Amino acid sequence: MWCARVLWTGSISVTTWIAVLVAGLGSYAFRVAPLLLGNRLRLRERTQDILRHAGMGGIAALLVSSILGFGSTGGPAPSRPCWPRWSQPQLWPGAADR
Amino acid sequence: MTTVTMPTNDAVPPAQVAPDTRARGAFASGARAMTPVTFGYLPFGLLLGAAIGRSTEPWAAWSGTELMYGGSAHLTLIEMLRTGSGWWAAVGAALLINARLLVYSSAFIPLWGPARGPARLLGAAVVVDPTWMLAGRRSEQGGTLAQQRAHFAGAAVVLTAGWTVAVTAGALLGSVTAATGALAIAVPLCLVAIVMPHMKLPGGFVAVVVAVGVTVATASWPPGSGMLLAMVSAAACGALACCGPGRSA
Repeated sequence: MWCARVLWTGSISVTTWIAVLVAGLGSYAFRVAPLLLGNRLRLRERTQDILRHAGMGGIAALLVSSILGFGSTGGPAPSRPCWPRWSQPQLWPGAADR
Repeated sequence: MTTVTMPTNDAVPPAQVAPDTRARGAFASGARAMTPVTFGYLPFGLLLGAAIGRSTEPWAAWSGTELMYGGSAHLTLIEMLRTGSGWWAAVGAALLINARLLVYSSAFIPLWGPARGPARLLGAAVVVDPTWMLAGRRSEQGGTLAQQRAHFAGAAVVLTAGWTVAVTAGALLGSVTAATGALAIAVPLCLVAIVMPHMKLPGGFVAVVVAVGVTVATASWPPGSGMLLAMVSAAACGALACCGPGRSA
């Protein structure tokens, strides 16, 4: 199933380029929209709170994942990888052994 | 909740000092102010670089250093792609993390709103937590808009240079196991330093606790879905705790 998902989402390198580009453009849109629209884009206090909490929630989730190990969070490690284990990148030392 | 706003009025500058000299001084002052902050972000940049160095497509991942210009969203994107999330889920999580930039950028309207188009576009590209924080401090000291923009530019140049160097060095050192081990300890500490100030804000503590709980509870869910749910839950619960029925903002 995991292999099928990789194939379904397309080549990994193309996927990474697309993801970085879309995330980069989206991030820039967040930055530039208020400066271009000026006072026409007035965020309510509640909206500002929601955006801040969402962002910080993501960083807190990232923190938990970094403590638990990315290899074991966000889904179980694939039991039958479709490429050799030695070729799989690993950020967190020992994460694959957890 | 306090919102940082920039002054809209230009103070009258002393007649004896040339405008160029004042702008250069403000630029240098911004660069000096950002230097220690940049050093504080170095471990995080190195770890992000290590993640980039071990990704399946390092060049694509590295390009996000300037394109995304935000370490937490960038790291989230890379790790979610690496753990097999769909690219749409990874992008969604990264954008949700960076949605706070909308708030930061709104605070810059008085400073950059009246500027020329290219300056506005350039200034917007480097709106991020440290530049927002320093610009807020600088605006409290007064001065002309030109001086404040020069201060912002100096700070942004130092941060961009330092961040790019740190991420690139981390990518090159990523294959060194000992370095990665040390950095793996450093990154939770960096993230704690980012999260802690938020917990003092109204609803911030609830938002962070909910995000932690949801992330742990959804560890066995498909990659990325737990983080997205954690962010949505944190936003909803934080907003309710902050200014829900019967509470004032």
